[in-house]
Amino acid sequence: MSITDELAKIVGREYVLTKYEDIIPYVKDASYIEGEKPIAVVIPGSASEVAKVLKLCYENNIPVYVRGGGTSLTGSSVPEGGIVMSMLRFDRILEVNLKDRYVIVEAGVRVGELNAYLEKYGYMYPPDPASDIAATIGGSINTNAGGVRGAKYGATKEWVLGLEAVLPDGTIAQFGEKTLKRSEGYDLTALMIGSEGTLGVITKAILKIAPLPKRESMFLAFYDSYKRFGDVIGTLNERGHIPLTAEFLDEVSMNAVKSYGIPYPNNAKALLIIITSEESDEVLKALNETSPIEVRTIKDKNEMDNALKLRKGLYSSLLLERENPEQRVIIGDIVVPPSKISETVDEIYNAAKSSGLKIAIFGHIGDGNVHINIFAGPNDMDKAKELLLETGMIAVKHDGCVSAEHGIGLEKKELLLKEFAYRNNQINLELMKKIKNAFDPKKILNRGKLIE
Amino acid sequence: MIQRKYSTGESSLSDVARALSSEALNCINCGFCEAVCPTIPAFDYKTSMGARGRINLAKEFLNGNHSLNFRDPFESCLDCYACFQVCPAHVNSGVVSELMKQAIAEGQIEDQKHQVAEMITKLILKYKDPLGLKKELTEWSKGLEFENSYETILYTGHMYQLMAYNKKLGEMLKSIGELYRFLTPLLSSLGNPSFIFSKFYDKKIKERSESQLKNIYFLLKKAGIKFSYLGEEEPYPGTLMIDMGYVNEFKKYAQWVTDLFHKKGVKNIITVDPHTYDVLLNKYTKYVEGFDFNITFYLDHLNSLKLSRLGKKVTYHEPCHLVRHTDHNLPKGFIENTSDLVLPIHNGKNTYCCGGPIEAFYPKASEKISDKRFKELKQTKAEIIITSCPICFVNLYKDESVMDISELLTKIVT
Repeated sequence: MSITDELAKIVGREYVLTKYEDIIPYVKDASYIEGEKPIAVVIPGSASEVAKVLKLCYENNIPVYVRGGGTSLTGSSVPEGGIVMSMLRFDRILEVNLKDRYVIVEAGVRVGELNAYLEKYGYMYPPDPASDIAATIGGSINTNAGGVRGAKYGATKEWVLGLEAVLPDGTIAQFGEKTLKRSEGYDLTALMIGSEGTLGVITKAILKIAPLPKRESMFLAFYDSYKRFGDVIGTLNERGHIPLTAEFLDEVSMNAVKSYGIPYPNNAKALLIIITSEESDEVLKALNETSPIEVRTIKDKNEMDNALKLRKGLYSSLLLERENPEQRVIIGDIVVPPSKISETVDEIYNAAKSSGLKIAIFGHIGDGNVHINIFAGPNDMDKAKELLLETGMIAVKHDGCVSAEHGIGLEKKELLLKEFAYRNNQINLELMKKIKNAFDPKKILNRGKLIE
Repeated sequence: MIQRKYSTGESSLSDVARALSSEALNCINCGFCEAVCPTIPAFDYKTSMGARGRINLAKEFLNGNHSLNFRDPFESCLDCYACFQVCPAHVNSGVVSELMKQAIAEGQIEDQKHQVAEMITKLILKYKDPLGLKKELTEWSKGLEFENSYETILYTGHMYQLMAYNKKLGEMLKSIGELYRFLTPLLSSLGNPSFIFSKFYDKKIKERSESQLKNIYFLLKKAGIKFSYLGEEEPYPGTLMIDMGYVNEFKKYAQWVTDLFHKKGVKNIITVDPHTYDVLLNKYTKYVEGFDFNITFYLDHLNSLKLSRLGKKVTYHEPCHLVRHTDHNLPKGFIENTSDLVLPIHNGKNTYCCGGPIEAFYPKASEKISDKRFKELKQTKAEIIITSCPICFVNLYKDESVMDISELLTKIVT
């Protein structure tokens, strides 16, 4: 019996795809990296089906590439042959428990869909990647996704209480529980977060939830230079004003969203958008001490929503700035301590200038996350990759990391090694390899990614 | 209007391929469209049967790979434009599907034409109706009086009337499965097969649809609008032809319809369903020369009516062809002003298709979509579910809480 016949026996013939036209959409994700066609795509509908498929692949040494929403920006979900396992049938919200502050969801539930569901209870699941409309819970756990609420709420790792995961040999494991804390030795739940599908297939998650925060005030602070960014967030942090959201835009980004109709003062070359859940006087005072050109305070909810649309529509607007459809806007993703953002951004601009590539920078200043958007045509790809490497190492030099919320995938494997080498910290790599070996000695899961 | 910095397409390409390049090549493969596309869960979560997969396949076509099965991925597109609402690159995967269907219909992709689509197009061209019906379409107007002048006409576009026959046809196609491949050419060879189609209809839907059209008539009369009706001379607008990709045939046919309207002295056209309203507003104006009529939706004329409050919790299923295709949402205003409106989780521009557009060709998937939408509407715990499109009504008519907006307004007009 062929492997596809055996797969069909497990999940049903309609859930095994082998025709070229059916499998071609699974060769790419949201990154610029194209994989190799898989032998088949399998779409299981239960943890036990996942277990049987993995057992079969494990026994036959067939690589398995797990796919959620296919929104990875680092090529984390593209296959290199093998089997693609789509998790989209795992789309149920199983339990909402406000008394104990958790939800239980299947791995294929979209992050945005979960939040739309929780909103009617006055609650939210805080991690909110920009791709939340399409990103799945399983995928976002696998990349430890962040988002605009990160300044106050942190990334995904703060919000996962427990997991059901299927290990490469087909064992169904339960990690963690419904409790808000645990002290039980090695935290295997935490180990799965950010593992990019290399240790197990997440099928179910117990997630902590939080009440929707009150948005008291929004500030639009305009500056004549991005060089004030570090001061601003440093000043706010020093005084204990942790914003709900703190986003920044550079001049290219600001120009891209001019059509949103928010007037800019003359000479404005950088914009900060800050939302707080507290009274505004102290925050306003702190902002005014950082030499802005102008600070606007918004209290009205509709006006806040309107200004937030500008931030949400930013990437979309940058895409309209492309010179031709072949040109890509590649999103880089690094993180540094917030007080070091200005000097980091300064060096990134210098690096971009040397490369001759146009860039736009925006990011989540509250947690030091900088997104470098590189405009690159097909002939610029080598230069763009070089620039991504360089920006990663700029972050490392400023006590930062090469990936903040997008993961490593294929794109940043080399960078991760460079980060370890720069810090003379090879033990990280050695331990990671041992962990991988303990979970997946045959290396069938997401083969070739992360540390391989 | 989206302003890109560049234009796409090469002059050596066919018109379809050029238009396809302009749309599909801007895709950045982010997957946002896939998340909102109703056909993915309806077709067993196959990505090729969803918005992003369709763009991937259109790129294959543009790369010269014409041997794939394009028919199912593209003909299963609902044309609901949910994808376009969320695309950061401003790509409309619905338009990509329309263009690929055109490529199939024009024979640019060999052997993938759908026999039923071919038959329907021929019937429309010959008999001015997708099923070749005539007097059956006018039965709703028996005993009603109309103005003599055709300056302002009530244009049904046959949509309400066809629902009863369409439902039966869908059931027949569902039950015969692949046999349609043999039966359709046989039917086509009969000349006018309307004598067969006219016998198969859902009686309950027929009565209900005719009653809904009568409601519209009486509401307009009550609002003091003077209008006429073309009766058996009223042509079908050709919506299905353009939906199935038969653009060249549609252009000729739409020109004929336009000339007929001119000949009759028509100046104002009052439409009664979102699909006809959309096709006249967006396709006739695009493809037909001299299409200079004033197009309205019947609810545009009812603002002067005095309506009492219903005092009930009501939910509203916003049709894609009003809220997305034509940016028209007057029905919601009427409901808001007269009832306690509670909207389902997918609402406004993010509304969710009823599944209707693929009912004939993909009945099982269509049913899954309508079941999901009906469940969302029920979750509002409203006593009444309102629709404002005959296709939506028939697809969501799963219990007696479902009403057409004309029925609601008739109930509360004073």
